[in-house]
Amino acid sequence: MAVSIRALPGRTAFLASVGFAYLIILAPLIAVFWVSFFRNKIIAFPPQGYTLAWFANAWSLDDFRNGFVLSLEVGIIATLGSLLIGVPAALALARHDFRGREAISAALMSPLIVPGIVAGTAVYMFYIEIETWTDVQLAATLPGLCLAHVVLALPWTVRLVTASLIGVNRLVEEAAMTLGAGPVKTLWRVTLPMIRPAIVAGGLFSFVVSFVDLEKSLFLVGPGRMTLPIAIINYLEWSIDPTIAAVATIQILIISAALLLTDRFVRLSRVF
Amino acid sequence: MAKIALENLEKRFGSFVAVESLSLEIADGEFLALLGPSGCGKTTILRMISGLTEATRGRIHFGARDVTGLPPYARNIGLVFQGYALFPHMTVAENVAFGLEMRALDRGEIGHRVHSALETVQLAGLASRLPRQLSGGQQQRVALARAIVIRPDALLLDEPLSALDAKLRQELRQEIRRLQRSLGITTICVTHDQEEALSLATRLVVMHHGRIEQIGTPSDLYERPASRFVAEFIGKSNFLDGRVVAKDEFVTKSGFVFRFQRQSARASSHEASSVGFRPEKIEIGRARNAALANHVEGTVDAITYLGATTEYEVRLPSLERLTVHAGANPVEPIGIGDEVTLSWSSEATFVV
Ligand SMILES: Nc1ncnc2c1ncn2[C@@H]1O[C@H](COP(=O)(O)OP(=O)(O)OP(=O)(O)O)[C@@H](O)[C@H]1O
Ligand SMILES: [Mg+2]
Repeated sequence: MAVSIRALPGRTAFLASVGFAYLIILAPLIAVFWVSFFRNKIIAFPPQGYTLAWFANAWSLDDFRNGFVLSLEVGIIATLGSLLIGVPAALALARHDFRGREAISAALMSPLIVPGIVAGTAVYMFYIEIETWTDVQLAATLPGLCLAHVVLALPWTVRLVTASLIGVNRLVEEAAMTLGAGPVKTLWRVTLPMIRPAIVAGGLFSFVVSFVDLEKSLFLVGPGRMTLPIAIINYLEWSIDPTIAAVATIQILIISAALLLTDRFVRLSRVF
Repeated sequence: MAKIALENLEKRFGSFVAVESLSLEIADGEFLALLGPSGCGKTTILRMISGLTEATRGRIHFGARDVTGLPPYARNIGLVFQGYALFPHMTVAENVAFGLEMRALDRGEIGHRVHSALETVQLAGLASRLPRQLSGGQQQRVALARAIVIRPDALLLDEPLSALDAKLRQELRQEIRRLQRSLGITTICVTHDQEEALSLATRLVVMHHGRIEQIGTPSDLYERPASRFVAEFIGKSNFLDGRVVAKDEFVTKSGFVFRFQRQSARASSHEASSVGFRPEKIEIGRARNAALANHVEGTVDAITYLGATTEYEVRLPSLERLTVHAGANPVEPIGIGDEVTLSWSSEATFVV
């Protein structure tokens, strides 16, 4: 008892600083959410009243609607691609020692380190090079955009799945083998189910990073097409009414839903 | 079920020899215990027999079948790992059914065999639990059921009871013994608990640094240890250094003459060796027991009450110390500082 009483001031300070940190992180999100319901034509405080009109307006604008659909499409393809390449890559990296293992690992992780603008430019130039050599057009096409997003999403799958594999008890897989399961059956019936939370988390993270990416997509979308983040930037150039807040609110809600869903499969706090 | 034969089996990790040229035959239905200190190569042997680790040299036969090059999933082995290694994402019943599904048996047969295996280990009521919802002892039984349900040619147990408390260990020990007898399954059990080995096995193999020190029945090893290492590993023993001077006579460095009946092959009569005798074979009293061949006098230094027995530390005039285990209710009370005489027979005396 004596200990906890003496610890009380420390605990209060701790809670206060945690609360402050949360406030700083959440304040902009709450502000955006709040503003999206303002009746004012120009974002200003205090609000002159509340309306849902900006949400209707956002949906009525082709740029936002098409951008939303394109972002969704690209996000789903990036997720599938990231899982199809990332899971086998993680298995190879976590389980086998081969020449160039470190290099491949670093390459797969590099999108986390290279700034988006730089990566976007580089990918764009790379696509142009490919086109001049092979006549295959990737720049300004949907496949090109999706490919870039797969690369963008890969580190998340690789990192989450590798971390999970390292925690898998090898003896459990060996037990499956002594019971008659060959390598493929062991992978399918034992290893993959054991790392399923990480696979789900990797997929959802892949979707989120693709869904919010602006910098790379800027270079890679075709003329006249735009992803949702690009549509938002475009719109901001001309108007600053709360439509933008309404779009951002939808985006925040989708991402929050994805993260909450992920958290149900794997405690995110354990991954980082 | 089959006889297992290991021929010159060897495992090297780089230049380190974990198991050195091991030859061993385990009869059909036999219960063999493999024991030795940590790192002596016990797990490595089981892993080679099950195919999880490739032998560097040597051959492994199950009955007439040479399985040396076969992968683990083609060997039909029931292996119980030290940490049980249950499938965490499967229920108890699914864990047990796994090996049968791999053998593509039909559903009805699988259900039937899983049920009877769970009955055998008294877990029928917990079939739909997940491993993490079980106690250590229950997990151990699931691992056992999972291993025996496939009717393996051999059952390999790697320290199956080491994670359990003493009472549970005793219970499960009986259960394993009963199960092994009723199934008549050839079994190798690794342990570094000598009590476990003595109570379970028909034959014991004592390992040391990747080599076999001695193979024999529990009483062989206890009464006729082949080396000082075995004598110290199996039970407690007193040792005095010296040399053999006649066919049945040993003289210690401190000058005592003891008669012995058993001499290990390694202890030749010319080299320095040790005479050994077990603490519970010694009679302690004020007068010598003239019926016994060996006697020595000393002073009681310490007394420890152990329940069924009492342990006496006796200091000899030569300052050497002997340990004596005697019944808890001595005929004549003995206290610290008392002068006593120790007597034991020549049959209870061995030279290693
Ligand atoms: N994969 C490996 N690489 C290198 N050395 C190994 C490997 N596996 C085991 N060893 C070594 O081989 C020796 C025997 O190991 P093993 O696991 O068989 O011992 P053990 O008798 O089972 O010991 P314990 O009672 O502690 O389980 C040890 O010295 C160990 O360090
Ligand atoms: Mg071991």
